[in-house]
Amino acid sequence: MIRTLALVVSVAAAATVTPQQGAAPFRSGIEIVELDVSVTRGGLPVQGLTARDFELTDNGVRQDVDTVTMDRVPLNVTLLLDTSTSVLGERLAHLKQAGNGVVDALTADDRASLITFSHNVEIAVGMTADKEALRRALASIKPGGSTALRDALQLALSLRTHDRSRPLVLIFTDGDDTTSWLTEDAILDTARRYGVVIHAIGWQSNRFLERLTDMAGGRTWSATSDRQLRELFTSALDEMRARYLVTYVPRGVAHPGWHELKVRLKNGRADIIARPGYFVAAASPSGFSPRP
Amino acid sequence: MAVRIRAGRPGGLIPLAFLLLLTAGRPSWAQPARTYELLLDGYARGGAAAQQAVLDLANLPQDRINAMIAAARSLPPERLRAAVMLHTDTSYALLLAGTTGSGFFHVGAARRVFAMMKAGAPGDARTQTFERRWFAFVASLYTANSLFDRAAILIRDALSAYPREARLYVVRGALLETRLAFTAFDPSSPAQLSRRERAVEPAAADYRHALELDPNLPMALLRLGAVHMMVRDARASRNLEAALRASSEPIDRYLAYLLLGAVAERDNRLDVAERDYDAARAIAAACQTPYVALARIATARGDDARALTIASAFADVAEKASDPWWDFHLGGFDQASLNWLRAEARAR
Repeated sequence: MIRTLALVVSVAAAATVTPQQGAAPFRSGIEIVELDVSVTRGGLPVQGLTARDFELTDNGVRQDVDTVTMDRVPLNVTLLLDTSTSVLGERLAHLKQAGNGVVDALTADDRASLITFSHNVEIAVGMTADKEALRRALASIKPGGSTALRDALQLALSLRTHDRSRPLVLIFTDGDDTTSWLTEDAILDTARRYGVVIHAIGWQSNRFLERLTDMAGGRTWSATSDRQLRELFTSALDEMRARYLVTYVPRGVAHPGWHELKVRLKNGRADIIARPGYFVAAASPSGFSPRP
Repeated sequence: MAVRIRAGRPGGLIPLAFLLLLTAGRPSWAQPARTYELLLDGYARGGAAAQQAVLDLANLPQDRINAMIAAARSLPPERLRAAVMLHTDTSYALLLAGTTGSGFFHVGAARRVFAMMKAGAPGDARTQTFERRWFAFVASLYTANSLFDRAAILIRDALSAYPREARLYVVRGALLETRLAFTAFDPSSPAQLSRRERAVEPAAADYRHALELDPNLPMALLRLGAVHMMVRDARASRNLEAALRASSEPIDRYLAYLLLGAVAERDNRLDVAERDYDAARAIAAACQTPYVALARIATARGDDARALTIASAFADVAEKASDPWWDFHLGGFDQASLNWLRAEARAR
């Protein structure tokens, strides 16, 4: 039957350069790669950077950064919340508060969805700007069951729609995955192929979540108490807003396949977090995750 | 034809029963024999009456229950079969509610009723068949509740009485697999793969022995196929295709197609994997796993639009069903045996 082992997540911010795997949009035959890049120094965002400040290589080939923007593109936030038996009681109340904190922090242009999972995955609310619908869904969460994080994440990423927004998945989980169909390697490959930043919030170190968030250019956030959840959720959202959106048109790199990206600042040291690369399918029937 | 699977643990009877456990008061009971007969009548009727019988029995003090069983020696075999399953369903409800001590008590009560049945009709074939199936079910119930040591003891007892019962070897293998399932394993590591092969070999040996006793036992074929798949043994497909040939039960066929899909996906035969996962979805369109597997195949192909279509179809499923994969993966809860035992307990 259904069990849940305690688990959590911790993270270390990446020190140098590993960009996020990214969407490689195709627009009128022109391919543009977009990267969400976190640049911090001493834990604080470094502001005021321009395209001239970034140095970027795609499969080892230096690229010209075309645009660098911050906080101008709306977010599409997927809240992916573990509602297995382990969150019963006070933790659930704090989890709901944390979810509401994210909803409160959304701007008028942002959208969010709520997906809950135990062994069952429930699409509680699809991507919407309707904050009341999100709050109602959060209020109606009923916990119970085991944990199928990997299956939930596959469905959550598959439901991503392509628009002008910056996609972000915020995972909360406090238990090891006990019931998923998909293996860790399968879901890590899925994460490589989608251009979505993933943050994970939990209690203790979890190797899989660290690999996942590293692959997806996000972070794991480790809570020390249930009361801290709201703060961590909103911190993750703030971190996303403080990222630069870096775009470039790849030149001199072969398609298809995996493109390793490296990003750094030309001058000065900083902690940079981004996806480590992006994937272009060989013969994608429907195009590759464009972010037009 | 699509079949609606109703699998997994809590069937209709149990969840209500154990919810009621939390709120019900204790009825007063007078004569033990009469009380027991009333409970057995209720259980044999099924539905709400059976739920009430489980509820009432769960709330009785153990000394009263002992007195009722002692007074039941003269009951006919069909009433004693109902008694066995009344105690078994009560144990099931109590284990779900987390009251393991009381759950064990009712399993012990069921075994005392079996002892009376066998004393009243030594060598009775129907009783023996009933008991063999009961052992297999209760061992799976313990395993699925992570009561591994209890399961091991029960299986040992059962095999000493029925060494040629194929199902008992299946539940013993499932017990070993379930214990292993909670240890980390990286199939891409040759060293870990080799260790895992050695670790699961006793389970595979149990499944093979079960198949020597009953060559068409679907669950033995499915479990052996799953073990072979895990250790990348080429015999996996053969086992799973044999399970398809051996069973017309939707749950068995659903699991066989899922696992065949996994074998094909592992071998990068994505068209075959997709076909098999689609076959599983056709059997159980309200179950989650085929959608997950199909969305993953689409992602692996770089077909985001197809992945979105599949995930959206899952989101649109109005009433999702309990997925047999979960029970298969987490200890092999034997719903088929439970269904058979309940039906037998209500038969004349």
